[in-house]
Amino acid sequence: MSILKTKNLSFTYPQISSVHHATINDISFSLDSGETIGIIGHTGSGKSTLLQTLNGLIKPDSGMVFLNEKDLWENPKEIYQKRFKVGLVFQYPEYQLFEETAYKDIAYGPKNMGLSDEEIDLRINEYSALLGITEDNLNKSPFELSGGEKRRVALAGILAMEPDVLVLDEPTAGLDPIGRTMLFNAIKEYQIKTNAGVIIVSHSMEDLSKMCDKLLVLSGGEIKKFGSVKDVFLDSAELNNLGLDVPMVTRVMLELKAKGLDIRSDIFTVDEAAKEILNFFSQSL
Amino acid sequence: MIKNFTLGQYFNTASVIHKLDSRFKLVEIIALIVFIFLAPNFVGIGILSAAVLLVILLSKVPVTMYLRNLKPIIAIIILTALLNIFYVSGGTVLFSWWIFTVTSEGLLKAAFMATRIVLMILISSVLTYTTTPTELTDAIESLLSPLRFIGLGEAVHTLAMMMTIALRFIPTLTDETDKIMSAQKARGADMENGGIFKRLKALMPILIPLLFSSVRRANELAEAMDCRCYTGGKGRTRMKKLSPTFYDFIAIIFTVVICASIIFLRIF
Ligand SMILES: Nc1ncnc2c1ncn2[C@@H]1O[C@H](COP(=O)(O)OP(=O)(O)OP(=O)(O)O)[C@@H](O)[C@H]1O
Ligand SMILES: [Mg+2]
Repeated sequence: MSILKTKNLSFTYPQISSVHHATINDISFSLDSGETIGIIGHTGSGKSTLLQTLNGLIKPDSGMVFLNEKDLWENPKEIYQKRFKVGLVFQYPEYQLFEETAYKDIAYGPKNMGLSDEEIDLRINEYSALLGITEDNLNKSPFELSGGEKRRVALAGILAMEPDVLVLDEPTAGLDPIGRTMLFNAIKEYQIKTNAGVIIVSHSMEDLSKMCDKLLVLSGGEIKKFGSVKDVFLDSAELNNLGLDVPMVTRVMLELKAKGLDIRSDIFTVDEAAKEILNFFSQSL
Repeated sequence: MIKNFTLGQYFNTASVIHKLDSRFKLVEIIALIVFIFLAPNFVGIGILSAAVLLVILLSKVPVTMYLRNLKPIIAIIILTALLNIFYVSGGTVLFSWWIFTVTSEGLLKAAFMATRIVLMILISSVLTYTTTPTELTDAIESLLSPLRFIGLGEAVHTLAMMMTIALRFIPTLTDETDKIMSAQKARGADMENGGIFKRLKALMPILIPLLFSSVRRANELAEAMDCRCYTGGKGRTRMKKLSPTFYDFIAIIFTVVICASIIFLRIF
């Protein structure tokens, strides 16, 4: 069942004069519960704008967003409630921390939901454990934490609202490899537990190929391609045209194939590639 | 969204007025404003109106942009006009009711005052539409530079630098405010409903991150300036040297002629 669906969504920032094309134009896609969609597109293609229409921060000029089959804007006064269901994690979310302690900051969203203190405490413990935030750090001021630690606190603040749809704008920008893996594992775990739908914007094709079921390619505010990871990455020429690329390891496989090796090139993760290469050698020996 | 808030409403049409040296432009416009208030009669105001109109047309900025600036002060214009209509006596009585008497003199005086205010707003708009904030601070720094003879050179430079930096960061800060507001709304912050106290409290999640990021930015900027060996005004040269052109020559003559004619009207 689709948990989040958009239909012919269009939006243009009012300050931009009408001679420019729309910021996002005619966007239709649907996300099932438990599914992960990755959004790729070059800088300025409208990714962040699209994400903000999904939780009602931006009201589209035309088109509709359906959350659990219901129009997101059916009652504009209740849009605040909808934002607890579609949890949006902004680019560099650490800059939004403001409370005295990390603990209180994570509690901000759940408090706004009107949850009881015990429930909030339960959730904070659960999600800080999931994200590897230590007891010690929970009681520190968020401004005393390192960038990566702040990022975890910010993400915990959204997860603690237990949204049905988790929307992340470049969640791993500026993190080290261990931080990235940890973050993605936490998101996966959350998804397994709650069967939430996840949408991730990222510039790292490697990360996306690991995380996503489907990919949505944006360019100039329009959907250029929407399909399984395999479908999208197989058309590497089209991606190159849009200023994007396939994962590094896929490029290696394509090169090997071009060199005349009888090898599969529809491979998008390093693990798969290793298996395929080993397989190739054991066959040719 | 608070993006549509603009300060230093520069409107680039690359007209001759835009190209004028900002130092001279600033002085010329201040001179015109002074003489708008010195103009003794309708002939003087007529000359100045023609001059302002000419400058507006030369600036190529749409007239509607200028009219927009008049909107906020319509109330003031009407108020001064009314005060003049009712309180200036003399001339023939046109109309009289209860304690109010409208005289021809009062009407003329009201029109005179209103035109003055309108002209002043229009000519100052020319300055803000055709001069970037940076050019303006450069001009101020340059015009205040004689203060160095009494040992205030460094202070003038610091002041100008502060103005430039402040203006530079206004768009950055509005951007940032927008972002932080959206991020807190995504966590259920409700800034549109509730009483005054509740709304003030709802501001904290925005003000605190904003304050922190401003301090961070200020630190970063200071470090970046240090790294590029910024040591204050001493020995500092400019990338864009202000230099008068042929147009400035014409503009100076134009201003002098206008001002001279007003002086002439006052004396004779
Ligand atoms: N608040 C705003 N006001 C006006 N225009 C905006 C605003 N935010 C974004 N834009 C414009 O809308 C377009 C799409 O921006 P958006 O932030 O959605 O791009 P993006 O795909 O997220 O880019 P990036 O990869 O750099 O984050 C850009 O051309 C941008 O200049
Ligand atoms: Mg973005």
